[in-house]
Amino acid sequence: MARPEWRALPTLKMIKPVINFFCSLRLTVALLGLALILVFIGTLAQVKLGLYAAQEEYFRSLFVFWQPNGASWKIPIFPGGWLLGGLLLVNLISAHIKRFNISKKKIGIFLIHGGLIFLLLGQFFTEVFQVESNIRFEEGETRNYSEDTSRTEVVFVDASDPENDKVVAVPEALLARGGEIPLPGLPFSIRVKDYFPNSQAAGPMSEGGKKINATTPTGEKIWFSQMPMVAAMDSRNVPAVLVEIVSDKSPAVERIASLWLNGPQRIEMDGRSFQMSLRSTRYYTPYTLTLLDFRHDLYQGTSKPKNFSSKVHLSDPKHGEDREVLIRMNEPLRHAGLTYFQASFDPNNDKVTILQVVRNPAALTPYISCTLIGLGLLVQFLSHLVGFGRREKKKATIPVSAPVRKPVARRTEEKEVA
Amino acid sequence: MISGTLFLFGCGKDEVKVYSVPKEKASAPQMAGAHPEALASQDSPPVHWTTPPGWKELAPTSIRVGNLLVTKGDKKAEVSIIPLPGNVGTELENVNRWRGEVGLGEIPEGEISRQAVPVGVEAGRLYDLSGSVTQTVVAILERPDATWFFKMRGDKEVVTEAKPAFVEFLKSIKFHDDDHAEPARQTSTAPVPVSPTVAEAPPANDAPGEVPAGWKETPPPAMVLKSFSVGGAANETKITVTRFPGDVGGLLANVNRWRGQLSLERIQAADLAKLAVPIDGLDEKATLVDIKSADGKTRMIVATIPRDGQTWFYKMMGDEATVAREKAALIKFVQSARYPNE
Repeated sequence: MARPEWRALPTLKMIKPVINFFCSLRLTVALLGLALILVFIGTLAQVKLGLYAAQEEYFRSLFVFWQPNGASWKIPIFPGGWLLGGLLLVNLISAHIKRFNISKKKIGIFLIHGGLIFLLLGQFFTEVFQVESNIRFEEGETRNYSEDTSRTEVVFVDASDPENDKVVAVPEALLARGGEIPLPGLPFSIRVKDYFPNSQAAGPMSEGGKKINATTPTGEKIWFSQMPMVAAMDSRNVPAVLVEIVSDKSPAVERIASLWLNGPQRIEMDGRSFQMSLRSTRYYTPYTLTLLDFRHDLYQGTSKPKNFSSKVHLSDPKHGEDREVLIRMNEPLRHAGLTYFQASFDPNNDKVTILQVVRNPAALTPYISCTLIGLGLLVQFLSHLVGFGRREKKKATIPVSAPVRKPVARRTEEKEVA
Repeated sequence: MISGTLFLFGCGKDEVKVYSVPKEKASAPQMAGAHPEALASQDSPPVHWTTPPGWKELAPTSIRVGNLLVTKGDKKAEVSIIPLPGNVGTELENVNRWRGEVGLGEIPEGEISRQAVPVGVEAGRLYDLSGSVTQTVVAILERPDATWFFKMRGDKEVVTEAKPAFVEFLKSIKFHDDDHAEPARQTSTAPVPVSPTVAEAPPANDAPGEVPAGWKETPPPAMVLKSFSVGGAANETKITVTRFPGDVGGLLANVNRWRGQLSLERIQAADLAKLAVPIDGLDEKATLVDIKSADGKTRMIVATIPRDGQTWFYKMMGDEATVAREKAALIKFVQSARYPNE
């Protein structure tokens, strides 16, 4: 199939410089160089910002911004990960369209570039859709949910049914926006009066930042003060939110929900009872895991960990699975689109395990990409090898009387090169 | 088994979700019973006490780690134990707030009436605020993890009669870190909430000095690098080593805080030079403060060592005779300390 003669079209001719820019190999080199610098400064930034904030600012962004202390404005100073990745993808695809003919000889190159494109797209989908959470449970305990400790939610639970709890969960992103939030299926809604992404339990006379207070159902006045957000890996923001619970039939009441509070608070509205609490965001699964045994082996005579393993019982009636699984380091459990890794343990309780739960719809893309690239390299090298072999064979069959290239011609070539 | 359960993993992050889940078993951390306020007691409380005869134990609440009721006929008083981390306001602000609760007017700082009171093996301050109908008796204990409020409030007749029992109740207080018990275990999957101040706490493996003979190392409470005890049950004295960024408010503010712990009056900057003496063999910034409670029973010695933009505190507090005996050992301990980058 013949390529379109874009040079002949006037419209395309006008955008020739743009096309040349995006097809340029120099752009590829520049983008790879910038990516190297971005990885370097983004890694250094983790010291100050912590892993998650640095990832957001440097890699999950179009630009890296600089904001002077106390200023309300900020300016972009460096391309972010998404911009560099996106440009690399455009550069790769457009260069491919412009330069490469679809031919048998180029099939290896096509496979290599196809693998690279798939890798870039796969990483983009991983960034957007991957969700990480944890399960922490003790031997004998069963879980049908994992918790995302980087996110929180305020939940209202109707526990009147003897078998099931009806849960209405409001994510923190909605709480941060404020305003009135209707709660489907409940006889009341909430008005967010104040939301602190990080807080500290306080007293009425505490100094420091802005404070919220409310009375608990047991008549205690509780206070929380706003704290600056933290980003270090070993710290955690502890949100607190003051909400007004409003209903047509009952007087409005103010309540505070916070991770600082141990248990849920009872809410009485319209003659019904509910439980309210702020907790880490939960992701429920239609199957359960029960921890049967947790082992934490050390190298003999040392306190160095040798092996962690969790024996769990998987019960999934929907898929007819009812089996025991041993989850070890580098040997995760993969089930129903989720991967359960042995992540950590409780240093104060040797019967407690912590599993990391990862949902990544694009988890297979690196494997497919690497296979395509490997296959492409193999095809490319083999085709060169076969071609080389053929040429050598051909040389060997040339008669001795064949004319030899004249020295004059070689000198001319050298002159041209010089 | 899980009818009606929705698979909610990761979708619709910014929307209100409604779903139905099977009830959790009792071992689950939350939403397990019909009385949610009682769930706070699932974790072992950070303090123990002996309940005086006739007092009724109530379930702890989300903010009260101890919750008791004293009754006499139809009259009653509530006793609560509440720890509050961070700054909890000045003494004057708190006293005037409590006075307001019992119908008394505000007073200036000079008129505050307080007395030293033992809270377990530590020294607290006791305030008695009596209105015409109601009365409040409060003990404050400042610990590294939080300021602890022990409060009895209710009908005047009940509080007055129960005050001696309240003082005995305070003596019976025993913190988890006193008896080397494991810290309360967080039952939630979520990590223990870490406040920014705790996040700045120094690593616990620093061992600055040569430990004197007779000192027994004890599990350090939150934000304490090392802790030791010396003496028996009757005359136990505690030694703690802490390190904080900056000057932690300056020497005067800290000295006044320590004096407050012994129910002593605040001092002015001019008096500081007399109280804070240099330590032999260390630079001029290292100081030693030696103070005694008004009744002479409790004594506190604190060595303050500013170093590399941080301040190290070596604090010994407890029985006067024991502290006097161990003072030389404390100074030697401080002098033998080796710091990071040395």
